[in-house]
Amino acid sequence: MADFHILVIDDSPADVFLHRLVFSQLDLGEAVIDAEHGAAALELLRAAGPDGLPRIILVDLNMPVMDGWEFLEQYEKEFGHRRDWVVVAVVSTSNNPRDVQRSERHALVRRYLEKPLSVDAARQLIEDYLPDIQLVPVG
Amino acid sequence: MALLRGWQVRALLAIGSTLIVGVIFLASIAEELRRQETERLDHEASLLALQWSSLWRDVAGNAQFLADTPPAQGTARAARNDGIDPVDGSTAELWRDRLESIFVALMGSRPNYQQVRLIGLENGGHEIVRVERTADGRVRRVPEGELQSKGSEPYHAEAREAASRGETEAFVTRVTLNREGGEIERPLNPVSRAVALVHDTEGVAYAFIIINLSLSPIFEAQTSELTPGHHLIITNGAGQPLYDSDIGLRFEFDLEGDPDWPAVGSSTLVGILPEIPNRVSQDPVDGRRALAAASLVEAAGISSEADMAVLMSAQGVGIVDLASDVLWARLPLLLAVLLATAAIGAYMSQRATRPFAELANSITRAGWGVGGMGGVPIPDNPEAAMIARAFNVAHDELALSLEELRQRNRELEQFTATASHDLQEPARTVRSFAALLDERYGDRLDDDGKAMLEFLSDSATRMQERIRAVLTHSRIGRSSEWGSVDCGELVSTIISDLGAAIDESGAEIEVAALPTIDGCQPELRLLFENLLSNAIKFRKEGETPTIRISGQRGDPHRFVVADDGIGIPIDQREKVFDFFRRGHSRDSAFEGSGIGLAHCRKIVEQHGGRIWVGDTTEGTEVHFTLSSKKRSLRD
Repeated sequence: MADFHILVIDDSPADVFLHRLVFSQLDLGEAVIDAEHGAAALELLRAAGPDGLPRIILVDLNMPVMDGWEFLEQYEKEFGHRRDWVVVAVVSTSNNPRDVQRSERHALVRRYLEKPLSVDAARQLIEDYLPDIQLVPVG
Repeated sequence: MALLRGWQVRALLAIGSTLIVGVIFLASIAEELRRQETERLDHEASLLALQWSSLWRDVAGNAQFLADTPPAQGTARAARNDGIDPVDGSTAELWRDRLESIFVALMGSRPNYQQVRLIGLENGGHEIVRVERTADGRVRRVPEGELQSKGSEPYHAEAREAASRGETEAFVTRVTLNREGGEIERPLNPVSRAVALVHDTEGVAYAFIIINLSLSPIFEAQTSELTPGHHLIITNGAGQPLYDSDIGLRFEFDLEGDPDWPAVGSSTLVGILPEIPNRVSQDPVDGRRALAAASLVEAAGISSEADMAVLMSAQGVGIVDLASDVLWARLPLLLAVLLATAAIGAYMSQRATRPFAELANSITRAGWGVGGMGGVPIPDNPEAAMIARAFNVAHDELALSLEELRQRNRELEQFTATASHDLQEPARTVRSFAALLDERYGDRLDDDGKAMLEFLSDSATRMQERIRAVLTHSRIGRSSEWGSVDCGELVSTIISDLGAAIDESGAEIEVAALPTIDGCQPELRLLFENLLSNAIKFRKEGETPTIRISGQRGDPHRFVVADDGIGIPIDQREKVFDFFRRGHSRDSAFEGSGIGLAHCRKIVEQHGGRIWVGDTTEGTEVHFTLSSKKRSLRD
């Protein structure tokens, strides 16, 4: 599983902590890497290169420096061709229906997840889009 | 009418209309004067022509009278009959003496007659009787021995021709210069001659009476009686100039080839004669614009050779000259009319605009209360009243909307205050219980548990801070403390209050002379405090920041707070004033609630100003303006 990474883009250390906790329940805690905003995330991705991209990107919307939408726009330009390999999901506290709608219509965004992220939602996401990943059974 | 004030426009209009009226007035006066002048010229020309006519008639009449007197016939008969009159046997001497006496008597009463003679048609045209006026004006009977033969003179030929025609009426010969012995007499002496044939009982002409009329005195008399400014030219029937009131005698046609005669110009006025008596628009002599009139001298029944034309012109009576003459003559009156018109025009237009100026004043003073407190009184002027009514309708609608808006604002503020106050309580509870949990059970928690507890506590603290920030924000603009604020003093107080932070950063703060302005002291304090602490906070790592604060009095007052810190990226420079907008990430050194600049913007806007981040590449420059006029959608 050395190549399996989950990129969490969130400026809140508490949320990053929570996400890592959630994926630890699925025995994927080690795979979580984080970036505090869009610009930092893009730097990480560019460093990894198209073949080293994470399988899952969870992006927050409201961040300083570069917010979620700005990140998605730039990401699509640079890494849009890897759409099938990378599962992108928005994770936000924003209960603004416009953001929800925009996420659903976005070509790259597979799912809009509400904070706090639950273990079930994370499991569902992986089962739906990454069937090749073996998850630990419930319980 | 950005360049001219209202009264200037009115004065210009009044003066302009007066000028137009004045020019029309002058033009009509000039036209009238022109007409009168033309009439005067006409009148004078025909009067002079009449003078000449009667002169011709008189001299021709006298010649005829002399030819018909018995002595003339007797003298002529005797001369043809060896000195004895064959009719009554009188001697030639006797007849001569009688005729001379008659000639002398006539010349005594006619000072312009130069010679009166009886000349035979035959025998070489010898003079039979001659009475002449000498240079000193005396009348002299010329002795028989001095008498000459005139058979070669042009007038003798004319007389012979008339005799062969069977002419019975006296006639006047064409005007020429007098010649003595074939030479032109000096000084020049223009003459005309009246000729009357003397007939015998069979009706055969055998002699003629000739009267020489000197014209110079007549020319001079006519010139001296000329209306000043008028120009007189007299020509003969062929249009050849005889006399000019400006030059004197002309007679170029007669003098042609005379070496002593200076060339005055040999123009003939033949060209204009067909137009007589029509007006000509040019002075015949010098071509200047002028009025002109002409009249032909009637020489009816005498001889066309004696025809003359009198040409009159008046110079300097063009419309412009007339207008300026009239203008100068009536200048005081015109000025008075001009001033009066301007004054009346200005007064009238002021009267017309005054109701609107007053209305504008009332509108400026109008309050924005509902029902009676606002609006403007309806003026008497109907047009102004229409505007006032329309204004009042709009005013009432706006006043209602304003009242509604104020009500909403009050509700919103109330809501914000209540909500944030009510939110503080649970936040405080979460925070204190987190602290309590840590204190009691902290040692039983693993690392994850401890981290969670810390997140809990931090979040609760941040929540409290934000709630406080919202409260502060909602209170901006509610303070009633509006008065004079000495910004210099305010900033030095803030600097001493921020002492610890400044010392820690080692910041150098340069404060220029700041103005004293009208404003809300606590809010201005918050404004400067936020900007100063931002400038200290966002310094470059490991460098001591330099901060400059400057301000300038004006309308509005302008301030700049500049630092040499980390700066704000260009694309963030507008967003930084948004609510809860953080320019920097949370766990960096620049922890903040993200509301300080939002406060600043609200405070500046409450003071009728604007705030923006300056266009610099090094550090940050925050610019803002403050007006002394309070602007509020509150009460």
